[in-house]
Amino acid sequence: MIGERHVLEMLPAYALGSLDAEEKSGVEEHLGECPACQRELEAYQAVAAQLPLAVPLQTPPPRLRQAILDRAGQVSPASRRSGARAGPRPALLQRLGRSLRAPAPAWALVGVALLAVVLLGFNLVLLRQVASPPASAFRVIQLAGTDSAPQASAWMVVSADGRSGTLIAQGLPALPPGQQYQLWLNRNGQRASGGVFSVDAAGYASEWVYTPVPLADFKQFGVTVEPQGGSPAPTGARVLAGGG
Amino acid sequence: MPGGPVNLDDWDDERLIAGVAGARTDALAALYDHYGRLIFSVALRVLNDESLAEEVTQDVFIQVWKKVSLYHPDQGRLVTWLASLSRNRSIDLLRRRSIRPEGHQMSWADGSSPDLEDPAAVEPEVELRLERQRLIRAIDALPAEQQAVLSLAYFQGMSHQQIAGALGEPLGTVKTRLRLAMQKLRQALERDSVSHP
Ligand SMILES: [Zn+2]
Repeated sequence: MIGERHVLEMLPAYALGSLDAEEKSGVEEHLGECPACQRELEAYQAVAAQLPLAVPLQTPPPRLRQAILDRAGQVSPASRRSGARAGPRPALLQRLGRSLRAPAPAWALVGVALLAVVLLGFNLVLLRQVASPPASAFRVIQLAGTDSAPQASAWMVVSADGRSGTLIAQGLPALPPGQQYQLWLNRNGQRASGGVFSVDAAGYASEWVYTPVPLADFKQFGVTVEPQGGSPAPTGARVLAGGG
Repeated sequence: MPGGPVNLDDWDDERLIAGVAGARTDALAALYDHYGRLIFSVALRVLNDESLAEEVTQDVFIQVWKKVSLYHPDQGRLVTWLASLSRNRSIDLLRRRSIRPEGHQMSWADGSSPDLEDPAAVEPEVELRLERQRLIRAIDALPAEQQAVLSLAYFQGMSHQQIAGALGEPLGTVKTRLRLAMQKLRQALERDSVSHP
């Protein structure tokens, strides 16, 4: 019965995972019907969550950093997307493209932004951003393929608060190993890197763009081919350009 | 901002996560620079084996790289989430491989240890450094036998029964010590969070 016997004295150990199976299931049964004990548990869970910060600090061998980056480089963007984060379907992207090539009334831009939100809605950052502002507050900038990549096109969707955005690119040629695409942002003649990305076998990529200064300050966007990991300044062929 | 690449030092947790979600290896490198040492230290504390700790640290970062969407800010801060990934993965490894660390380290970070005071030793973030100091001092203030029980529970993933076996103490004593340790830490940390808003 509720209230007959709280499990307060068991909660610290429960938060640490130190109860035996029988005690644990008893506590869980009670927690299911007792908000007071749930609140107490949250307080102990907050303590448990902090405990690892009190570990004596050791310095890892310097090679570990590079080993992690090397392994990350072997996990291709395609296999990243094969998990929970399914990528947009090409047909949807083509519709997205057609709607932008047609004369674009205001509703089309809203549609693009909404579609981008739906397609990319797995991301927590964008999810939090779309929770408040209307989709029409998004700004969409189209990038066109250059002579180096005439089939390519891309859209830069800048969030309502101007702090971040998403680059959606399609029709880009897959690059040989050791090369990646790099996004460049320009404002008042100043250039910043917007990050590097790779495309999947279909030439598609969606890239989160997050910069310390507001993304909305940047007016022009370009994409070049660079060595894996990117360059401090553009060195390779420009494949996409746009903005005003 | 002068022309040129954006400065990753300016990235806060949200930007690091967004960068990793965008498959930016530079963001992953920055994430490592922020939290790699802590994640490695937690794994080493559990496993007491440097090469296994390296393995776990790699696995944690690759898991985050593959599925950063697993992280929800509602569940807590990035640093504690990463540290608990390292702890849980290390304990899994202990159990799966039936590894018995040689002896049980039962100590916590020393409250008077120099790396508490070195501003570059832990994190660039002052807030986290202060939090760590408060926590270490609160643990330092616990009686040694409570510190030991808490350490075995958290870093070895031991149950009451296992701790009692490892220490040769009665089960009831172990239960009481663990409960008191957690209650005192909770009080100390809640008091601190009131006096340091
Ligand atoms: Zn209750």
